[in-house]
Amino acid sequence: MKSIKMNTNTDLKVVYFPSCINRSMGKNSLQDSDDLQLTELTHQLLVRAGFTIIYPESLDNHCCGMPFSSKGFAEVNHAQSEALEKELLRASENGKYPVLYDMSPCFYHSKEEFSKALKIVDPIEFMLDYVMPQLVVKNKKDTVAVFPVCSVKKIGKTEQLVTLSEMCADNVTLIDSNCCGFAGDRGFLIPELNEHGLRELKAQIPSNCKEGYSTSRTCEIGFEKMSGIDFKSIFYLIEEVTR
Amino acid sequence: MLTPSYQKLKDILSVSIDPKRILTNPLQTLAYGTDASLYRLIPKIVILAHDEAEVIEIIKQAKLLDIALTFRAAGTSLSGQAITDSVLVVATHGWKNQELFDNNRKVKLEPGIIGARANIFLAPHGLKIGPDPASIATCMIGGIVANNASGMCCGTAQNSYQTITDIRIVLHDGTILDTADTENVATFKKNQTLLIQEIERLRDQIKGNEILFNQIKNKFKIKNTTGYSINAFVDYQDPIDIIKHLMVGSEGTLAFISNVTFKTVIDEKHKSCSLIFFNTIQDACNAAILLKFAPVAAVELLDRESIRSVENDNDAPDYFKILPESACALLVECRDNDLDNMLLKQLKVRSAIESIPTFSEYEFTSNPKQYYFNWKARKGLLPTVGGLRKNGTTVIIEDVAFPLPQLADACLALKDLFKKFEYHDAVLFGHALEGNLHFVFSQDFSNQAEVDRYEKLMSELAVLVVDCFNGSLKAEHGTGRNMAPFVEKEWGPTAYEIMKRIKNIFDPNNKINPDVLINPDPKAHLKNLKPLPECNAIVDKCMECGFCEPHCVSEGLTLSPRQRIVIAREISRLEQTNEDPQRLADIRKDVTYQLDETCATDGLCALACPVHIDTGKFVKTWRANELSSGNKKVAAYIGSHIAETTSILRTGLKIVSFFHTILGTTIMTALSNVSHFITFGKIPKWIPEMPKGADKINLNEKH
Repeated sequence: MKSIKMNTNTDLKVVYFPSCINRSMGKNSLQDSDDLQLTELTHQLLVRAGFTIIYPESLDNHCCGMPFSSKGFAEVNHAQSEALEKELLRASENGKYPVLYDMSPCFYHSKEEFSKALKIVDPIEFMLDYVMPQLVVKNKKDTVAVFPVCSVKKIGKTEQLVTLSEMCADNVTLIDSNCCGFAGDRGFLIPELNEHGLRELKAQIPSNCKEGYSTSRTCEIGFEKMSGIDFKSIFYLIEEVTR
Repeated sequence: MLTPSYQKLKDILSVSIDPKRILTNPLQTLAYGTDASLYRLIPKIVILAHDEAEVIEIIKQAKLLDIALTFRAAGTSLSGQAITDSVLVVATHGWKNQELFDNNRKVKLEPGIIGARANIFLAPHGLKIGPDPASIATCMIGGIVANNASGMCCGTAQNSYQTITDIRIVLHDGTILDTADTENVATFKKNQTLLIQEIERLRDQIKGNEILFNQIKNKFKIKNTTGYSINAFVDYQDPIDIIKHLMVGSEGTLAFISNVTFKTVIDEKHKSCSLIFFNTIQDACNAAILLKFAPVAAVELLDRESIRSVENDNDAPDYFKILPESACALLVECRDNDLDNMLLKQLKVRSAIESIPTFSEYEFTSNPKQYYFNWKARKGLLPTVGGLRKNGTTVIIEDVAFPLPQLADACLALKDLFKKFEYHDAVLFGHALEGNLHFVFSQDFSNQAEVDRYEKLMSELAVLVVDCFNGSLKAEHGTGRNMAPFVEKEWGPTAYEIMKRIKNIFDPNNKINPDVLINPDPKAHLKNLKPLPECNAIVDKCMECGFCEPHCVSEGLTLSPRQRIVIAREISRLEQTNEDPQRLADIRKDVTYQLDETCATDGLCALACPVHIDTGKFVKTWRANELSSGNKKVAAYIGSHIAETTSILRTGLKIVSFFHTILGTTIMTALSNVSHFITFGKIPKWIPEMPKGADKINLNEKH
């Protein structure tokens, strides 16, 4: 991996917590070979926007706990969540710096679980309020599709997702769907749920739309499968149009 | 086990309808057999019909075997009109065609379209459908028309009865009548001369009977869904027009509705409302009378208890808490496409009611936050009662209407009635302009004393509404099983006889949704009451309204959140009573896949739930209970070794991706399908879109 220089002489600091999903799952099969994997891309984007990035210590050991919660393992979930909260508190100097999550579901889960005065920020709000003001859109895209995953709907950020997307593309198709049915790893275990959930997806995507964006890696797998177009984190879109 | 005739029906229909959509197992028949009412019947067969040809086949075959059919769309009705212990035909999936035509003046809709979806379809044109029931985000066109469902704004001027222009129906023998198709109408008239003659005879009888004629005219000046829409005979001359309007509010007892055409209605751009407080209910009702002739879109009445239910809301003004006990509010809405006109309407409202003192000054607001709060105060009433009720009790929403001049007296009489029978949690609200009052209260049906109390309340209510005030026992929720025993009481023997003849004309064998609307049993409203046993604190407040269903990814594949709760409740009940171990075992057999494995636990259901139940959370606790200690140990191990797990996942995905490159998609899919199959779905099924492994983040280089 290439080493990247940090901005050191700036007050813009952020704790970046790459989710365990994005730490394990790499690029999708439709992505270019020279595309960066999301964690790397996020790092570069934050640096370009002038942020100094603080990574949680022993990052490899951390997870928000949601995968355990979803499967009914409440105790393991709480243990994971508490450990993460403790580390994020330390890394953010007791909430002095915002904490960026790169997946909405993880953000939502931590928001429900955490009790301390941490300023955790979901991917949409962080890009809209922290990153975009630091960057200039140079080459707006023509047409993109975006999907507000369930956690985005639950925190009421669908409109902000559209606003953010419209900064980056002239035509934004907001995909109208319930939960996509991928639901973490459920899309691998019970694929028919994803197929049922996205049975009306293809009809919604304009023929000239080749790229879709969201804020959850696992949902994107199902979207790629059911739409046949390249579906990835909205961070890719922002990185590309501000490059 | 099905009885021979039902088995025969199933076998015959399986030839033309996908057997996967003909459900007979106890889990699915219970799940689909449940609607939002307080009644429970479990169908022997549930058929998820996808088009009219299937419905015709079902109707014809059922007729040959003398089997009763009930048709249903969203299952949100409250009076017990969409349940059966025979065959339930569900027309939701499929049935989504919609067409705007005639210069946007008309819209043709199929029964499975959700009301709000129809409005989304019409919104770009500044239009909407007329009927606006409170359940519009869930209920479907078929039920909206079949119940003449209405709401806050549509009144009696823009309900289904007034805005329907055409209908396509399938009669009890499979005959189609499509009033939009002149050729079909001509054929129908030629082939159905007896039916047409009967309709004409009824029409002439009503038009020749001045007392009856005037009774019908008067009773439909206010909202009324007790019995059939016999105003069709008063308002129309042509038998096809009469049939068309009779179908509205027929509650699926006369025919199956394949599609309807509505006149579209303008959806005004600018909206404003004001919550106006009066010192007494009498003042509020008198204001409502004056507002009947003012340019208002809606006037909603909220009693003191209703206001109390929102006084602790963050957005509620402080004075909500100190309102006098006698206070009463009107929520008045003004709308217009032109902003100045809307402001003018507000002024007209002011001058219309200036003679009546208000408790405090009032302003109209278009500010989204205040506007939303005002309506929240109104719309939050049902959930407030529903959320506070004792577990195991049902929420009952009564739905009566009074002639507007008597509204104040009727309100006070109703409140006395609640007191008399000790319904202390009852709140009273309603669509004041139409004299339509709802009262919501909780009711226990788990013991005879409570059932008796409800019976007494209902019979005194009938006396109060009919004898004292000449009102409607059901204004907009439909007669169903709940008010069927009182139709004759409300309408008298002559009109009731006509209603029975209508039923007989369209359904001579009484096999189309029998026992609904017309029911000879004077105690039908007290039978087949739905048990709501305690099951899990997360879901115990569920009212089974079905508002969650359009927001669930597994709805239609397996179960919806409402259906998951229905099944969990039945399992609890069967475990507690031990009354039928075989049934319990049969339900448990399918429950893991249906209830647990196919729930995405995404929690979107909670957003639509009036009492904010996250069924996903419930399913997570279900999963926790099903876990073995061995599984828990594995999870604990993974939890304390996240680094190794992500590392294995990274490497694993890289290996998978490597083999994909070499072997190609077809072989990979085949291999993975085999392993997926032999491990009962526990091994992740490989799909071509499975991501490549990520590279480990190297923090050392970054710091």
